[in-house]
Amino acid sequence: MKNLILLSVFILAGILTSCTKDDTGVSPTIPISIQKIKLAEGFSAGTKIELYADDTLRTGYNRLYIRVLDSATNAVVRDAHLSIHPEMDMGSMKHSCPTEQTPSAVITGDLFPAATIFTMAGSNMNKWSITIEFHNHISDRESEITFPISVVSGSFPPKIFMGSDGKAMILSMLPVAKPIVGMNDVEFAVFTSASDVFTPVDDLTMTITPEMPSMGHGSPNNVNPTTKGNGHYTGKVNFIMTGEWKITLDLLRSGTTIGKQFFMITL
Amino acid sequence: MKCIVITLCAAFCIIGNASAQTKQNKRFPAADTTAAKKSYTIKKAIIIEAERRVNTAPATRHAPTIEAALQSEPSVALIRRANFALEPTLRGMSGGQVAITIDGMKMHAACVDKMDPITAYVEPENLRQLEVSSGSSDLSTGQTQGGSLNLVTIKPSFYEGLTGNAELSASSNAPFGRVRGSVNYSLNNTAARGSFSVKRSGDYSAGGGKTIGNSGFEKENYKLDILQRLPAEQEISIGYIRDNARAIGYPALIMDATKTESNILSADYRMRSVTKLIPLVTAKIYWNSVDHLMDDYARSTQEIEQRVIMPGMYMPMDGATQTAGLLGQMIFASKEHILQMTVDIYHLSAFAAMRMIPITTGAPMKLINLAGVDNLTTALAAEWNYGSQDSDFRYRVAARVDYSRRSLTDTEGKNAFAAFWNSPDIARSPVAGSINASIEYIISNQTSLRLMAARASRLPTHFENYGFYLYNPLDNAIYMGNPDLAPERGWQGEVGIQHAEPGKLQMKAAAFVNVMENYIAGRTIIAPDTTNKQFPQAFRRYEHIGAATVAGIEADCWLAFDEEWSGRTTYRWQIGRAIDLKESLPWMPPMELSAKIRWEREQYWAELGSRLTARQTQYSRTISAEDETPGYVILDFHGGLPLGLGITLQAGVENILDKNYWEYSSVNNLPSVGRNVYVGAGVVF
Repeated sequence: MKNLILLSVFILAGILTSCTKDDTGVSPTIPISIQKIKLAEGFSAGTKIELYADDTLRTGYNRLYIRVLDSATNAVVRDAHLSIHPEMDMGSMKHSCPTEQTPSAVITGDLFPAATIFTMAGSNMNKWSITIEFHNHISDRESEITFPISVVSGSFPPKIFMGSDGKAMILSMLPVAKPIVGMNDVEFAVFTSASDVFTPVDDLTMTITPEMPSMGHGSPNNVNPTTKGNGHYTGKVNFIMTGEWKITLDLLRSGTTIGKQFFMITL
Repeated sequence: MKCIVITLCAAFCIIGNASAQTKQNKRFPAADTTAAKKSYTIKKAIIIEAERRVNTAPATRHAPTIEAALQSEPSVALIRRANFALEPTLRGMSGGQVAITIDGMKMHAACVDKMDPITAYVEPENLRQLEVSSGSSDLSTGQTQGGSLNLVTIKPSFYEGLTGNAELSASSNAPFGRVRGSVNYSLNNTAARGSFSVKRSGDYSAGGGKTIGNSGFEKENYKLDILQRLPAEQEISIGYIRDNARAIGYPALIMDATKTESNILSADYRMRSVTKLIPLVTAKIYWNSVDHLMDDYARSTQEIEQRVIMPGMYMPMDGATQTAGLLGQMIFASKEHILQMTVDIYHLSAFAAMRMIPITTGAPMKLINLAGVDNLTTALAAEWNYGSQDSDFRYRVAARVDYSRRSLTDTEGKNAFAAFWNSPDIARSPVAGSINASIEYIISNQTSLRLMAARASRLPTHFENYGFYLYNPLDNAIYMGNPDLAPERGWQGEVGIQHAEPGKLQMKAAAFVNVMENYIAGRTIIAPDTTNKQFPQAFRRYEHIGAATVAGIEADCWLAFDEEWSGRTTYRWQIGRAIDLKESLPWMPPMELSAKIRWEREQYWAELGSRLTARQTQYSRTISAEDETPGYVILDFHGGLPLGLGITLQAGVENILDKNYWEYSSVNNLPSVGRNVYVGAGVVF
């Protein structure tokens, strides 16, 4: 109980004092605790880089969070340029995967958000790593740091397919944290892949069709995903009961079907 | 088991019961003689008290079940889904179109497949009478289109000491066995009565001897009442009924009822002669619950894999309802006026869910069919009767208003329903009102003519409002609720004539018409997909499908040829049309004529009865999926004789010709029972 009170005082103090220093990009106090999983941390060029995620990294869409600190004072740096570069080392070859870089160089919280779509699980032979390039605007120093990471098979593995337009595409369904019986928000991310360059696709129309394979029926009032930019599409899906659901997406461009993919989800 | 049955029977044989009710009119169903109902001509009472059967109404004295008693009423027909718990219809209407109550108490079935009409939860030995009101005349228990049926239970008697009765019976067809009995005890101003019945039935056989598999059941019923007299003509009483049934086979459906349990608890207060102007005040509070579980575990793997809906998986389904209410009535009476005021408040909670478990592999699924229905209904009703001895006319006006607040409480099911409804706003507060007026012209001391006109409404049921993926085996469709349903409304008219010569002749005939503006039924919103082998069913939503008309004629005639011989005949003819769809309404019964001839001398009696039902060629194709039903003639024989020491023997043969037939209202044309020989021995002290 005493520890809890002490922790609360620290958290409160951290919040209050950090707010006063937003304009400088540096907090002189101990950073607040992060309610996420820390994947790795390292030091380079007087800067400490911490890598976080919501959960164990899995194949599919993963949100990442990076905290930048001054390695001497441990103050949080909120003004920096960052870019992430995941890489799969398969021995004989290497490849990357789609990423979503931090959208802004200045943040108000402690974490720079990013995301990646891991296209395969890691193993002893096939190893993922993430390189984070950074430019600490407070110290005006830049460098990079590489973390080996572990990626396991996920519930929503991305669909990698050749579209009817001849382009390799990667379609990922963002994890639904707690799917409920009834209407659920769903989000998808689409990228093209060419020579390890991944480009978000925003010009598709999608038709969403949920069904229960073991029952042979679907559900009414689903909302087809529409683009919201950066390759992301949001829609709604209606699960009328618990059980295993198959969500089929028809991807079209100018009325022409590009591909048809599905994801499985169990309530 | 046999030993237990005999022991129980013997125990009741020791108990004496001098039933003063044997003084009732032997010739014809007695009317309710309470002061409040003397002037009423609307309700029709069918006496079926088990312990007094030998000396009560000829039409029903041997009725072993409520259904058998109801069949003597021309306006009543029965929907058969099994050899158990037939669902009554009134003038071809069912569900929310009729009001079925127990001592005025609302009670709601828990099974979404209608396996458990509430008439199943009361046994004949508990019943004093069935009050049947056809059409929308009686508004004291609810607003209806088809009519009301009130099961009036027996209350303790103030006959001194301990009395009782017992009966043991068996029949050949099922085979079927039953033991039942009751005891009554009174001391000073306190009286108590308890009753029980135990029934066991195997698979029955249709006419021609074909056994209908999976049609047996087991059932027990218990009832206990305590009545206390208080000063100033007051009474209070409490009553409890418990009914357990299990292993109920439903050969016409895709599942069987594993268990069904009900508890009915009530407390009554009654005060007579409150003032000179107020002869009676009653108040009742009640609570009842129904728990129902059905599954298909007893069905073969082959049947499940070849089933038309959701093949390859078990579908256990549970349902529960709780109903609590307050019913208060006050009667004002003067020399020429009687005014009955009724307050009727009740709350319904209902939940039903189905699990789907693949026989081989696959994740189990769960579907909530009724997501915690939460209905609170408040109703006010009034009925005014006026008649002067100097006038040849009697007048009657009745009105009722129901206000209902309805919603869902189960979060998961509510989410699912809201997603289907495409709006989180699913709570509703409908109001329904009905009014009717009648004039009775007293042609002579024996003959009267009655004209009635009514503006009738009825609230949608909770199934119609909030049902979610309810499977209907009749049309092989999935039904969805509709919160926006308005009350079903219509205009009704009826003309009736009655002639009575006490002890000699009693005739009643009525012609009626009901023009409904907005009949509620399922309308197809997703057509069946025959290419989908797993789920080809159509989806239907409850909607107003337009105007509908029901019209018919009912007649009932009893005639005493002499002191020993009498006969009774009833006649029913009815049509029902959905105007926009240009087809018949569902459940419309075909023409039926029944005739019985009876001989009776002291406690010896014999009765030969026949029921002739015409071929039904007018049936629903769109609203439901009925088909033509062949006509048939059924012959029954019943008789009874005293054996001495208060023991009576009753025996009979039903369906003497062993006719293989099914009623028009048999789900999936489930055959009726073939030839059945029964015998029963009862003792009354």
